[in-house]
Formats: sequence, structure tokens, C-alpha cells
Amino acid sequence: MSDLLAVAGALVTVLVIGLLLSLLVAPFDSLSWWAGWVRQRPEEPEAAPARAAAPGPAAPGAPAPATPAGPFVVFLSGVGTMGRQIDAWEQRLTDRLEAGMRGPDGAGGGVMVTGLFPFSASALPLSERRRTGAFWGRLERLRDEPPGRLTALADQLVNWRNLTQVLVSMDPRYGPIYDAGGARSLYAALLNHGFVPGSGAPVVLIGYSGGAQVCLGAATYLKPALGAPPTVISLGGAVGSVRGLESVDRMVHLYGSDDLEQKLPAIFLPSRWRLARRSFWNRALADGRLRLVLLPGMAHTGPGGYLDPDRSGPDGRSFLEVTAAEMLAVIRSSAAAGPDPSGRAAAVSPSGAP
Amino acid sequence: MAPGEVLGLIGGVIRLDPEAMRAIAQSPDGLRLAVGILLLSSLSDAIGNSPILFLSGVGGGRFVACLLVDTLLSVVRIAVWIVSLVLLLSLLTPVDATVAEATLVVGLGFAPMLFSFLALLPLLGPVLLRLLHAWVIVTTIVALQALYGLALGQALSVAVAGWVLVLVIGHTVDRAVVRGFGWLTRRLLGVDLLLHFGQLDLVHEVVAAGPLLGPPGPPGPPAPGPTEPRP
Repeated sequence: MSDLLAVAGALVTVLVIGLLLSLLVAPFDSLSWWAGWVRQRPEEPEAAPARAAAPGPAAPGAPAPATPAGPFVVFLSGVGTMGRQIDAWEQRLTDRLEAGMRGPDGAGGGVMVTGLFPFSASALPLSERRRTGAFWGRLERLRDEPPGRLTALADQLVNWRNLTQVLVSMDPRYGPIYDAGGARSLYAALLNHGFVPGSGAPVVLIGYSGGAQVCLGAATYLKPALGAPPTVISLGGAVGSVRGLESVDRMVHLYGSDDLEQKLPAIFLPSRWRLARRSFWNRALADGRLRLVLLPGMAHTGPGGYLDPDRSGPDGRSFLEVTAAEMLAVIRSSAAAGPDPSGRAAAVSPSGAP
Repeated sequence: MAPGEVLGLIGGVIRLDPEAMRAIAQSPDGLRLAVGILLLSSLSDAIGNSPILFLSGVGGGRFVACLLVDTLLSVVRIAVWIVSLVLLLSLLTPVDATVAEATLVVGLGFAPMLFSFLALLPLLGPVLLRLLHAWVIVTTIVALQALYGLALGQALSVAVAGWVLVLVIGHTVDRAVVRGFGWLTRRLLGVDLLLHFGQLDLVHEVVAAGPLLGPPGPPGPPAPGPTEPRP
């Protein structure tokens, strides 16, 4: 029995040291990118090609479609991602958002941008890295196997690795550098999809889980580059009280009552506490740029999560439908507000708290 | 001393064990161990502050040179501590300590700073560093009691007065030295090693570094299809 305890103790020690070491080296991913130590600088981040929501059939002889007027909606995955792919749950959401932007007659529409890896300043997917790519590639293949203990462990390793990058983004010492990488990827992807800087076309950044922090951090640099402040939608976002909140038109934080993950920053970051009245978070709440929207009964992920198409709320709509509807309401109101190069914030009243 | 014994004694010092402190003081290798702790804790401190080097784009051999110079700068500051301790002990207590004895006390007191590289940890680092600084004062007080038999009040007054003196020197004389070193390191290494993150507006630095958001590149590869859900 005592031998078993000793082995368990040794395993826990190794695990804790491993986690601590990975947290220690986490800032060097973005620092080495900034210093030019890594070979690839994200001059041209690779994003999915433009997928403008298809308009209805064009009349014969109609002029060629003009540059899209937006809204431009960028979706960043949560901490479970390893690269540019989005999983089937997230794909269902982005499909709904694309369809919802088109309107009932199939006309209009916006541009949906996916395919960015948010958890690295260099935007380089994990399996494409020079030194560690082989390890992450093996882990990626392991995750494709039927669910089991090993696949669960692989999932947790990826989650932890990406979570450390979210913490880097929240840290005032490293965040501005990490966020510069995020902004660079987002901006290049927007331009690749037809966005014209200064046009005032609405830009909505949707971040799921840790992706919300990346959206918020990037907003600091994106506001002057886009010519207007972006709108940020946080879906169960693990977000800190960061400077980016000063640069958004507004941020809507959707949170489920059963989502423990999104509560953690509110518990552990003093700048998210109500006492810190002058923090970015509380100032944004006070002046209405930050709105908190409760999604009853929803958890962070998986069955019962925001993207579950099978679980329904009291009104009979699936969780996925409710989540998509809330997002579409924000996207439509951003589109309705139209070009606003002045950068004025839309007035939104805060409602509730997580 | 065997490495295992050294580690055990250093652990004892950090846990505020007076016996471990006395064992080091009475060992023939005690002073060497104290100097080793001071050098390693200075290097650890330099590593903890190394992200500033990345911000300046320092790489390769220059990075190592900067770490070593930063370590030397910490050693200079520790020397101020040691001289202050000799003076304060003679002024505030009946103890007439030599520089070697004061080095031993400061070496023991700085043992917690061996972990100052943990300042690198995102979010937690700055908090841990403050705790380590506070622990240095506590360790120094216990070391003064253990080695010289001082009463708590005497040890406290010496440690606190020493800390205040170091702060005063840090804001006056040290600044001038620091400016000189800052100029020198900028000239020789191309980076101001005395900069700390708290002194910088990083967003401004990032924007000032050059065009961050460039023109669009060529279209990327087709987006991969959705993967299996990850509940």
C-alpha cells in the first residue's frame, strides 16, 4: 500500500513539475517570435479562403458582385484546437451564422472567416512546428482514435498547452506581444477576405473559450488598423481584464449557468473582482461597452454545452439554436449600425453578471 | 560537502531552520556556499527578467552576454547589501561582523531568490517575486538570530534598516550607477539591461517597432474540413 502511495506521489510530483515547466516556457513562444528567433514570422498567415455567404441567384446580365460590405465575422476556436481546423460542433455554429446572415430571401449576407490558429503569436499550428511538430502530430493522430484514456489525456495536454498561451495573453508583461501576433493574423485574414481598411464595414470577432481572450487582446491593434473598433462576442470566454476592452465597439460575453471554465478568471483575477472599480473590465461594464448575457443551463463544451444541437431549453430551442440566435442578434445590430469610422461605442446596457 | 547535503541545507535555510544555517556557517565550505547562492540567485533573477531581452530583439551570443552582465549588476547590488549589513550591525548591535561574515548572512538570506526565475510564470510570476523578496527579509532575520544570537527586535531592526538603506541607495546613488551601466550596456550590447516591464508601455513599443499589420498575403490553402467533435 505504501509503495502504491509512493508511486502515486512520484507521479503527482512529476505531473506538477511538468505543468510548472510548461507554464514557465509558455511566454517564450511569443517572445521568440517577436525577437525573430523562430524562422517563420506570420507575414502571411494562412486562413481559409473567403467564404462569403452565398447570395441568391443573380439575374442574367447583373454586374459582378462588388467588394463585400460585411459584416466580416471571424471565428476563433477554443483551447481544444491544434491547428486551423474547427471541429464539427463549431462547424455547425459557423454554418448557422452564415445562413443567418443571409436573411430569409437569401440576399445580403456577410463574410465568415475561420481557419486561424489562435494560440500562438506566429499562428503556426502545433503539428507544423520545427522542433515539437512531430510530438504534436503524433498527439493529433492519437486524438483521432476511438475515445479512451489516452485520447482523453491527449485532449487535456492540448487544452493545457493552449491555456498557457491564454494566460500569456492576459499577462500585462507578455500580452501586448502575444496580442500583436494575434492581431496580425486576424488583420491579414480579413484583408484576404476582402475587407477594406477604413471602409467602416462592421467586423465581429467571435472567440470561443480561450479564443475570446485572443480576440480581445488583438482589438488594441485592430481598432486603428481597421479604421473602426471591432465588436467582440465571447462564447464562454476565459477572458481577463485587458487593455483591449478599451478598443472594442462593444463586447458581449455569453455565459452558461453551468459553465465553470468561464468563471475561473472572475475568481482568480483580482482585476475581474467588483472591488477593482477602475479595472478595464469594470469600466467597460459601467459604461455599457461590456454586456453579460446568461444562457441558462448551458455548460462550456460537449453534451449540454453551448453548441449542443440535441439538448433543448424551456422554449424548445436547442442550445445551439439559442447560442447562434444570440450571436446573430449582435452581428445584425453591428451591421445595422453601419459604418462608424468615428469609433464611437454603441450604447448597450449591462445585464446581470456571471 | 556532497551535492545532496548542500541541497538539504539550502532547503533548510529556505524553511527557516536555524540548525541548517548554523551548519553552513560552521562548515569550512560555508562562505563558498553563500557566495554560490548569491551568484546563482543573481543568475536566476536575470533569467526571470530576461523577457525584456526578447523585446529588444537580442539573440544568440549577445543574449548570453546580457544574462551574464545582468547577473553582475545584481552582484553589485548585493555588495551594497553586504556593506550596509556590516555598518548596521556595528551601529545597532554589539556584533562586530567582518565582510566575510556579512556575506555569509546575506548569502543565507538570499537563498529564496534561487527561485526568482519563477517570475517568468504568466500572471503568477510578479506575485511570487514579491513573496520571495519578503521571504528574503524573513530569512535574513532568522539568519541574524541563528548566527549571532540577536534578539528578534535587534535582528528585525537590522534587516529592515538594511532593506530601507538599500532602497534609499537604490533611488539615489544606485540610479546614477544604473544610468552609467544602462548607457554602457546600450552601447556595448544594444539593450538597456536595467529596463523593467513596469517602465514600458509595451503596446507603444510594439507599434513603434514597425508596421505590425502589413498588406494581405496570397490566399492560404483550402480550409480543412471539420474534425470529429471534442466534447
